[in-house]
Amino acid sequence: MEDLPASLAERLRELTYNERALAYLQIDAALVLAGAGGHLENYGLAAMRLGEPAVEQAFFLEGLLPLEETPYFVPSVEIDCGRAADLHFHLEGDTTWVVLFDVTAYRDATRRLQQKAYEMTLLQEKEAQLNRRLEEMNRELEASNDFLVRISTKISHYLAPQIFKSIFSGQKDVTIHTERKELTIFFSDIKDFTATTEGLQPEEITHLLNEYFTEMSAIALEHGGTVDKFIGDALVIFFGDPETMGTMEDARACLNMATHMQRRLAELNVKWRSAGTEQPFRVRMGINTGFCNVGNFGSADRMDYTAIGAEVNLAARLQAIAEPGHVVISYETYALVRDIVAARALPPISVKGINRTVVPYVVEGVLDKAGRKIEIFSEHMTGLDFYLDPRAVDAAAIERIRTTLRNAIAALDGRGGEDTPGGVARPDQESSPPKANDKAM
Amino acid sequence: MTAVLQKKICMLGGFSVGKTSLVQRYVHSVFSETYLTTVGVKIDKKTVTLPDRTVNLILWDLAGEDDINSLRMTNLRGAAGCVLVADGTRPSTLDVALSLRQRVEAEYGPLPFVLLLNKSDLKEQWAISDADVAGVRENGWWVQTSSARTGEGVEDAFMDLAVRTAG
Repeated sequence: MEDLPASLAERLRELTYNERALAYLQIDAALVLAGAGGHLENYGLAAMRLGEPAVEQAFFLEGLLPLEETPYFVPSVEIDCGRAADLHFHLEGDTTWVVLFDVTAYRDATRRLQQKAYEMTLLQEKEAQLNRRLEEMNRELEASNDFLVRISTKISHYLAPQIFKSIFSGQKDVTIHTERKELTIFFSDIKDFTATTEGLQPEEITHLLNEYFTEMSAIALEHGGTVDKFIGDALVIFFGDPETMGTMEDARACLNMATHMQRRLAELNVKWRSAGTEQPFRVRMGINTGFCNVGNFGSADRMDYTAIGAEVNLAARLQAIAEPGHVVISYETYALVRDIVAARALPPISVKGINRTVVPYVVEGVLDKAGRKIEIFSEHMTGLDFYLDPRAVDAAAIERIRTTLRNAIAALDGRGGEDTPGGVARPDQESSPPKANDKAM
Repeated sequence: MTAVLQKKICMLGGFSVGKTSLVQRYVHSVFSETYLTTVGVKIDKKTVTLPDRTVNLILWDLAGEDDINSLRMTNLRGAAGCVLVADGTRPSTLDVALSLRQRVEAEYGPLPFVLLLNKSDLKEQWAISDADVAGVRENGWWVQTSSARTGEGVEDAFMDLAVRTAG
């Protein structure tokens, strides 16, 4: 210090003693306060009593005395008063000196910086934590979504695809609610199903029926039909809900579906016959168009999406009067499809719940665009699998077909009046259906 | 004059785990929602009356450990015990507390300590699993959840430490 110019020495004294509020404690070997001075009041130490234990008066000294190393420094210490001090300890013989410098301004500046940095870090931590939580939630969501998709896929097999779609897209509410709509309803039933499958094992019947329903449902879907339900071997399909193409188009689609089904059934019968099924499936079909109630029926816990009403019953009735392998439609349907079918009126019938006289029409064939009847010949019974669609025949094969048919007729003629195998003709086989019925669509 | 029994206790833990708030709750029975970071050390005194004696706990509330501030090991000179604090909503702070304990033990040997999993009032944000807590307890350590806001676990922790350091 002596080397310093007087002005600088004075400034240093000013800086340390006044501006940094220098204070000191002098502690003897017995840890008794031997002296104290400077700006003690700045640190709340104004009442220090000389001759008394130092640690009891300045509790921040607890654990630090006697000094284990010298010098010893504790930076930025805040004692009761709220001010921060750097504590400098050093030993001189048996005397411990403690020098306090006020660093409150420095502490406050550091705190501001540190506070900003910590708040930033906390925000980043929070963000990372939120992101983790978000990812976790996303994973959970994906898992529940996968689960829902699996479940809904399972459920979808119990519902018509259109109904499933309209429910799962939120278009339809799952509440007891019905609407009055003009529908075309289709009923089909396998003629003498029990007798036909008599010789088969239950597993074979199940397999056969499942294949039949799978094939028929696919055709229904292809034509825009809503498969309502399977009742034993019967099939109920409607057109016009949940999606409609207009009453006329719905009716035409239904009729086209029915003829498509009959064609496919002929093919299936060939396949089943070659697989060992003795009797072919012969299906009667009924179609009607009219206003029905369609929607959810049942209880709030267990509902069925279906159509009900007298017009639905009429479709079932028309199916019952149809000959096996044929389609019977009501006049209401016929009026909508007359330009695409050849049909013949049957005697009027009356149906409970329907006030008008119902005239059924048996479909004899489908008309092409020029109004010509497209004839398809189909007959299946023990000893005969016959299906002929003249339009589908290759020109080169025509002669071969003619020969086969001629030979077949000659063979039948040669057989003359022999008994049918087993001696007794089955009712299905013995009476040939009305002439028109020899031709399916 | 009878010498008053005084014990230096250091508060240790990561930043913003609630060391200052725990001391404020314990010494002054107050809690502030405002977070104010500690620079250096803040020293407080709390007089504890035990059945057979009175102890002054001299609480050194040390600046939190983090990337900016590494613990000044010399600040622990003369400490009789430690309160390790972790923030139950930030699992990483439990690791910080456990690593601090290790470093202190390496420098000063085994010291009585308690471990507080603080901010137990923030139940929805709680992120330290029971399994983690059980794992720490297996070492025979005194572990407790605490809340400077509600006061839960605070008095117990300091009292336990007072008994163990004064014994």
